[in-house]
Amino acid sequence: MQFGIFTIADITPDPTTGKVPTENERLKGMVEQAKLAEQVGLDVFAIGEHHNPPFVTSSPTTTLAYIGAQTTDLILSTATTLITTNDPVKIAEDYAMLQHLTGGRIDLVMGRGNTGPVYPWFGQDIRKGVEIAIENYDLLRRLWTEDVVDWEGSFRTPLQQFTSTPRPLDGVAPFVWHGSIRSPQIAEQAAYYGDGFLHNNIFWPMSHTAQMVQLYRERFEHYGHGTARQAYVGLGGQAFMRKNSQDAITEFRPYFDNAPVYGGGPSMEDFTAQTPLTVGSPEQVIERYLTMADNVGDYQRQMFLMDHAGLPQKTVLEQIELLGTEVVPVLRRELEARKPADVPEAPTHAARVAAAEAERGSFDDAYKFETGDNWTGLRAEDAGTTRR
Amino acid sequence: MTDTVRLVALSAGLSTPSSTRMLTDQLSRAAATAIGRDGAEGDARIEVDVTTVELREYAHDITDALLTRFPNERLSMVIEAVRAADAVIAVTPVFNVGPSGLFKMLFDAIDIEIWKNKPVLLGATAGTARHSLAIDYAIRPMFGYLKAEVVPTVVFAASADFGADTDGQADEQPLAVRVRRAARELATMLSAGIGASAGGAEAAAGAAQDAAARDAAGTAAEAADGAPAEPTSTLDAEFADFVPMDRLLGRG
Repeated sequence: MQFGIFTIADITPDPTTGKVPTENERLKGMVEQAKLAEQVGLDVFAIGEHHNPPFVTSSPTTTLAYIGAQTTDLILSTATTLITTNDPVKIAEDYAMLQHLTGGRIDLVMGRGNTGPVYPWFGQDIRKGVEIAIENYDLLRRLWTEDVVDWEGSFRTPLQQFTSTPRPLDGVAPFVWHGSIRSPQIAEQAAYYGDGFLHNNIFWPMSHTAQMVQLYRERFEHYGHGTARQAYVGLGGQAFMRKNSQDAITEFRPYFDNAPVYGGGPSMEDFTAQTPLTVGSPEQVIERYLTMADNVGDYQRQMFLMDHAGLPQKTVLEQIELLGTEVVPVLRRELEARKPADVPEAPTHAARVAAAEAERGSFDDAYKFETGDNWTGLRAEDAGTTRR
Repeated sequence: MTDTVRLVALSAGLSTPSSTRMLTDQLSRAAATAIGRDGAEGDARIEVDVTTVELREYAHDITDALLTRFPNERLSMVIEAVRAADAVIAVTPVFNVGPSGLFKMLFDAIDIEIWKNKPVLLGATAGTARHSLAIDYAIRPMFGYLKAEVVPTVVFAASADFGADTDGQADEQPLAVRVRRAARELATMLSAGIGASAGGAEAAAGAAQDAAARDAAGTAAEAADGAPAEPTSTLDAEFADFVPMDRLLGRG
C-alpha cells in the first residue's frame, strides 16, 4: 500500500495572522514538503494543476521534475492532470520524459478539474468536457503503447505517422489513475481500461465514496481485468494532529472555520463526523483511517491533504512528520496484514515492468527509429512486427 | 392506491407559533380527511400518515448542505421522507414577493429529481391579501421547473383569513373553503394514480431498468465470447448515470 500527500497549491491567508504567502514562498515550500515526505517514509507526492489564482501550480511537470531531481524513492504524481485542456500529445511526451529522468517514479491522476473557465483559456469547449476527456485519454494511451500512431478525432488535429518521444521507459507507460468525485462516467472510464480509480473523498461522506468505488470495481470486473476486489483504488484524506487531541482541535479550528469550501458551513465536529477529516491525536487518525477499507475494500493508495486553509509552512512540515513517523507505519502494517493475497499491491514501475516482461519477454530499449523512412522510420504497417 | 398514504408537510414559517404552521396543519388535516373519504367510497380503508417538518429546525443543516454539497444525516431523513411520500404539502410565508429564503434554500440544497411527478399542494401566508398573487407568480413556477404535479388550487392565507368565520364574513371564498377544495383536488389526483411514478423509488427503479437494458445489450455481445453476465448492482440511481465505454468508443 502507498501513502502520500497531495497539494492543490492554493494561496490562502493564514486566518490567525492574516499572513499571505508569496507565490515563490508557496512553491519553495511545496518542494520542501515533498523532500520531507520522502525523508519520513511516505511513498507519494502529488500536485494539482490550476491555471488561475489563488493557485500556483500551472506547470506540474516542471515542479515534479525539480522535486524528482532532489529525491530518490518518492513517487511523483498529480492531483489532477487536466486531460481536457492539455493536449494529449504533450502529456504523452512530458510524462514519458519524467519517467526516464526519474527512473520510472511517476504516475498520473487524470481529471477534468473544477474550473469551468479553464476550457476556453486553452481553446476547448466546456460543454464537451466529458467527450474531450474520453477522446483525449484514448489517444494518450495509444501514444504510449503504439510506436507509430495514425489518429483522427474531434478535438485536435489528426496525427499521421506520429511517434511520441521519448518512448515510455522500459516500454511500459506510466500508471494512470482517474480521479472523479461525482461522475460515474469517469469511474466507468477507469474500469474500461483497467486503470486505477482515485476518489478524492475529502469533502464527501463515506456513503457516497463507497458507492462510487463499488461502481468502479463492478465495471472493472465487467471488462475482464480481474475480480472487483482486484481493482486499483485510491482515496483522499485529511488530518490535523497534535500529540494531545485537544491541542489539535484548538489549533486547527480557526483554519477549519475559515477554510475554502466548507468554511462558514458545518461545525468542525459535524464535518469530521461526516467526512474523512480527522482532527486529534495521531492515534485517532490511525483509528479512523483503519476503517476506510471496511467501506471501499482493500485499496492501494491513501493520499492526505496537509497544506491547505492557510496553515503555515512550519506547521505543515510538522504534520507531514507526524504522518510519516507515527501514523503511516501503523496504517501500513495493519492494512497490509488484512489485505488478501489476491488483491494487488500498489502499482510501481518496477512491478509493471516485471508484469510486462512476464507477458512479452524482456524489453529491448535499442533505438529503432533511424531507418530514414518518413520521420521515424517506422511505418504503421510495420508496427505489428516490431517488438515494443 | 396503497393502503397507507404518506404525506409530508413542509412548513417554512420562522416564528413559533406561526401562521404558516397553522395553514400547514389545516391543509394536512383537510388532505387526510379528503383522502380518507375517497378510500371509504372505494372498498379499501386508507390510512393517512402525515409527517410535518418545521424547516426552521433544519435551517443549519440546509445551509451546511448548500456549502458542503451533501446533506447530513438529519437532513437526509427529511429528504428520504419526501422521496417516499405520496404527496407533499409545502407552505411558506411570502417575503419580498417570494418564498422565504429558508424555503427556497431547501430546494436549492437537495437533489431536484425527488420532486419529479410528486403531487405538491402549495400554500403561502402573508400579513395582508395584497401579497396573494406571489404564490402564483413567484412560488409556483419553481415547481414547474422541478416537474412536480402541483395541485391546481393553491392556498393563500392572509392574517385576516384566520380571523374570519367559515361562512365568508371576510371573503367570498373563505380560507376553509379553499383549503377543502385544494385537499379534494389532491385526493382526486392521488386516486387517479398521479404521482404513483413519482421521483425517488420509482425513479431509482427506472434507472435500474436502464442499467438492466444496458447490461442486457452488453450481455448479448458477451454471450458470443462466453463471458458471464455481471451481477445486478445495488447502487443508488445516480451511479447508473453513464454510457458504457465500449459503446462510447464505438467498440461495443
